[in-house]
Amino acid sequence: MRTAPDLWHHIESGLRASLPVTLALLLTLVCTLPVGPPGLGQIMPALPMICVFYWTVYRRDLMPLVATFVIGIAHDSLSGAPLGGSAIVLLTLQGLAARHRRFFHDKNIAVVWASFVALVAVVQSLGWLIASFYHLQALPLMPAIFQALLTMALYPVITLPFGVILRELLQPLPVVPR
Amino acid sequence: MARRTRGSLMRVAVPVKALAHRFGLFLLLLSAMALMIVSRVDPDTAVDLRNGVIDTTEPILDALSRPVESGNRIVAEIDSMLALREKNAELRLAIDRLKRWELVARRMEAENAALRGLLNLRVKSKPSFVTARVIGDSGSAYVRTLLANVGAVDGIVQGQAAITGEGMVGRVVEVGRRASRVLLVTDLNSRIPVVIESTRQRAILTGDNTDTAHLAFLPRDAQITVGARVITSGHGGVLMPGLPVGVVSSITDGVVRVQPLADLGRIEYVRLVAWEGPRFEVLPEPAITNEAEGAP
Repeated sequence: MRTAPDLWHHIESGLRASLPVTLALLLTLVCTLPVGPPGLGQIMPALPMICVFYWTVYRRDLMPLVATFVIGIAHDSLSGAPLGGSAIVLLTLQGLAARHRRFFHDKNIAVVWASFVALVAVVQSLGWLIASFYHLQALPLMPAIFQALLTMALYPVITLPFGVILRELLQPLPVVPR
Repeated sequence: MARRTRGSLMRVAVPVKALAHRFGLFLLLLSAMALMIVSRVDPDTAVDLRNGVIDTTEPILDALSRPVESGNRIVAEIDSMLALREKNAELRLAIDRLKRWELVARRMEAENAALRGLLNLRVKSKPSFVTARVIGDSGSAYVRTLLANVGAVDGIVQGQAAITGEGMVGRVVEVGRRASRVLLVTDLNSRIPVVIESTRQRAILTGDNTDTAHLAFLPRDAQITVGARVITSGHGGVLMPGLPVGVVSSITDGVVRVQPLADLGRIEYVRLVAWEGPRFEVLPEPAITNEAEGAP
């Protein structure tokens, strides 16, 4: 029979393991909040991108593909965008990040950030293409570019607490050499 | 023997797992695409899913948006304190101007009532309003919508106009139980039947995901000047006529652009207008009274 502390340990580790996905869902909600200085209008940084990328690089096991899919659908539902668009963008980002996960191992934040910038540029272009195809016309580019720049710029700020969580509550996943 | 079986099992299981992982990504990408196609072909199914998500998250969004709103208000407060003197002078001028307009409006109201009395005209439709707090905006670069914290339980139905003190901002496109989505007039999918207030020329105000909207289906010989006010026409019977929407901001190469009257970037509250189409009734015999609505 399982003892009480043992059970508690299981619950606790379960809660810890669910932190990345919970945080990503929370930040997806934050994306929809009516915040922002005047002039920024409706453009918000794509915070789910930051979450999905970060956790794929450092704890790929805690950000399963299905969770990314759900985050994408939640983002689309809340934003009113065509359903599935964000899911495609986030899954592509995750696929690309996972493919180069070994490269990020032991690299400092500047390198990881630079890679994130490059990947966001790629997937945001994809997102713009998908949205344009969906509406059968070229959508204005500026909001998409602006959103991508905001997302890139906010990466170090958003991932600062993630780093603390990773060090204090979770362990970075060791990279097994091939 | 057992060890060998386990070893060979692992030798099979690991690549299968890897394959499943790779295939999983492909499968999920495919489902996302399928979802997109379905929501394009049959938007109603997508709306149900969306409403489910919005209704579930409404309490969280409502709670989260309150401190955000307070923060925004403090910033606005500091902003207005810094410009107190100029604002004061500006407001004095505005009050002077509005006092003159008030006189005009009162005279017109009396005249209107008298004329209605003469015509025995009774307009039955009266708008009613539900005021809602904005708990979310789209947060996406490809759509322009708002989430309001009222829904079907508050009597909101699809198609209602959303207005602020300045003018119309959009209309309700999705109604959940406790939250609803307002499509702003600048969104790509927004089409609002309007008239130019001064010339009564009809057009369709069409959004294109920029900060202004443009007028479509405008007659070629239409005489439009920059600064002309654009109001809803009520054609189609869905939107209330006469709601101010915007002013003509530019005319270039035959494209007439309209700047919405309300600042769509910072809307905290909207009023949703419930309105039934007009039913005009002419009384059986002429009554010579000036009462606008008192006649039988």
